[in-house]
Amino acid sequence: MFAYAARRLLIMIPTLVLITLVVFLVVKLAPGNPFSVDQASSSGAAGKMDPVDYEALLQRYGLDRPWYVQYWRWLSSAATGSFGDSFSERRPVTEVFFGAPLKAYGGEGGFFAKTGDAFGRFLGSKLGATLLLNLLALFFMVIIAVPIGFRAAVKQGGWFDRVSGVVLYMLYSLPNFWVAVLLIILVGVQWKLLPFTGMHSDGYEAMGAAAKFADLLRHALLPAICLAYGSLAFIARFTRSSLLEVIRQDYVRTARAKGLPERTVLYRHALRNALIPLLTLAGILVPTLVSGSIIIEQIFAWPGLGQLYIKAIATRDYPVIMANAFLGAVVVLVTTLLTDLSYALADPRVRYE
Amino acid sequence: MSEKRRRPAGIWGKTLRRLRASKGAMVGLVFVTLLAAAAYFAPLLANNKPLAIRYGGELSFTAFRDLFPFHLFLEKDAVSLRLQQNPDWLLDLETLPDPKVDTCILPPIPYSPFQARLYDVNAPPSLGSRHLFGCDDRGRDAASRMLHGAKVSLLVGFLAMGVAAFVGVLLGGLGGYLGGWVDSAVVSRLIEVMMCFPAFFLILTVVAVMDPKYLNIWTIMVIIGLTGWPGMARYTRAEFIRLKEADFAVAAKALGANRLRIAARHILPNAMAPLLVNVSFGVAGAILLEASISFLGVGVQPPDPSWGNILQQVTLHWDSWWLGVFPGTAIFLSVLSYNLIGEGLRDALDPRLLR
Repeated sequence: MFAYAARRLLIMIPTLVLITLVVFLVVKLAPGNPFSVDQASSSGAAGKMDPVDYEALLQRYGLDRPWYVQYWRWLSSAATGSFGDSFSERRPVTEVFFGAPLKAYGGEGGFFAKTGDAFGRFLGSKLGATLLLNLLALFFMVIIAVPIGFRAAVKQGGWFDRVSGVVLYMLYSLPNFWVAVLLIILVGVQWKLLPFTGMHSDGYEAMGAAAKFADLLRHALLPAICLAYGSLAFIARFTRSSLLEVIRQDYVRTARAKGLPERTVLYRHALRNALIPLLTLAGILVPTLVSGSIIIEQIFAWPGLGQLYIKAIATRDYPVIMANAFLGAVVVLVTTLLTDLSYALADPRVRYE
Repeated sequence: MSEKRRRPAGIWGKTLRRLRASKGAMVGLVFVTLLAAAAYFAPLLANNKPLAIRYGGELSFTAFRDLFPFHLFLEKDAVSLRLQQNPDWLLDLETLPDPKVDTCILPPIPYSPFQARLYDVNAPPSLGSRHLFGCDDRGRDAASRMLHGAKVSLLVGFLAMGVAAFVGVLLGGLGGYLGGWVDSAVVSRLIEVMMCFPAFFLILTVVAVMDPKYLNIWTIMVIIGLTGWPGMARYTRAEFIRLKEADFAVAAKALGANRLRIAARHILPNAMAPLLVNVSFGVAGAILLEASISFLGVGVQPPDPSWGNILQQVTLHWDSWWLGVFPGTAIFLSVLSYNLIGEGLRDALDPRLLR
């Protein structure tokens, strides 16, 4: 299995190169560059840049070179882990994504350095914000979906099975941006129960740790629900059909025949085996979550990678776009690989050579 | 023996019979058909031009002219010209009577999708004002915009999926049938690359960086189609690999048919059934994608209406709940319909259930 994993990791390299090349070409062949876009947005003659300065800027950032030279430069520096500086944020892309390194705070300034709060520092980064949202969504999904699927399968054909079947089917077809809009209108605007923009309330910095956590959770609740419910329906339906298949297996009949209590049969023998195919879902869910984040973060003004990406496209912030595409592709590829490998771990019959 | 011997029901006959028994698929089909009719006849259902009018003693059916997209009647009639100067002319007849107008029959929704009316800005839905679904922040009637926007959603579904199916079947068929390096080095790699790149990412990037000059519903459809083919290609490839060793394909080869003929006339028709299921789900996906990118403001550009960009307006005015509820319902119902049709088709085609 080790050799298999190593081989898969090696195949990933040309795939990654191809993906980044496609994105690079799409973005480069489009009209405009970071500096011309900047000019277009500032209106009138005052916004116009001196052509000499403009050329100098292009030259300074290597944007005057042919695209293959530019791509090669990006690729070779990315290979060493350097993704360049964001044009609009004016700091390294890695810092935007993962948060500033601790030494940047130098102990004397910076709120998080003072409290020594590494977790909070990470949350302040774009990746941290997106991860928080997605992990919360994932938590909702599994906590709610598996019991629903379980109950529906155990009492197959009962009222719960039929009602949940219809409801889950509906949920699956609901566009998540529409659910976001409806939730904001109802919960946020009409009932004023939960906040629906950004990640923090005013005065967040002054709060205590518990209040901070509660505030964060309140802000994350609505977007996380929007991210979760679609895949939730998917997982619940999947759990149900998987469990139905397992219940008919011989070993379940054997377990019943030897007089084990029904609880033990269902939880120990049936459910555990039924959850193995759920691993494949991870491979499907992660890309869905990645693209779902873009639109949901935009609606809820959640300062994560998705929102950053939309802004980066609009301002032609090449390093951010490329790093984002790279990160997205790596996440998807690695999840697929882990899914395949965990199969072998969960099911001794699966062997890779 | 008589010539009229009944042909045994083939796979399509059986499928159709089973599909008709599926309640969900039928509901979906009816809804989609109604929607297509509503989209086509939108100029008669929602328009500020009259269905029939006697103006200055002359009878004309102005709204019907909009049914012909290529403007067969290039010369404008007097009513159209008058409406061009004042779009609200016929709406205001009660307060500002026009002696030249004799009889006038307006469409059920007497507003055009582009007609901005100052005193209807953010008007909530009401029967009295004939704004069934309310108005947006420019006083444009939401129901009218939704009816005219339905065209975009339906066309996107079909055209984008058409492009995706064409590319997918072509590549998948090539890879599956030819095998060898064509498959392992080109087709499979391409599929892999496209699969691990969320389509939404790529579409968003392409659409956002494109020159706005070329950004219209047609290019959006093509872009959605060009990113939607990997699923199709994977299915086609698997089917071709399975079927190229089938008896009928071998028989055709023995009879001297060339490879193109075997692939196109023998294998493809037999691979059609599972592909069709895929197409149905793909249409749902394409509608959703178009709505998403229009919602983000990079898709169909206002003033052209699309369900996605009407829905976007609610994010600027959260109090106008009607702009959130109605277009979203339309998107949801059409996506649900295509999913139901796909589900029905899949069940109808499942060989384990076929009798």
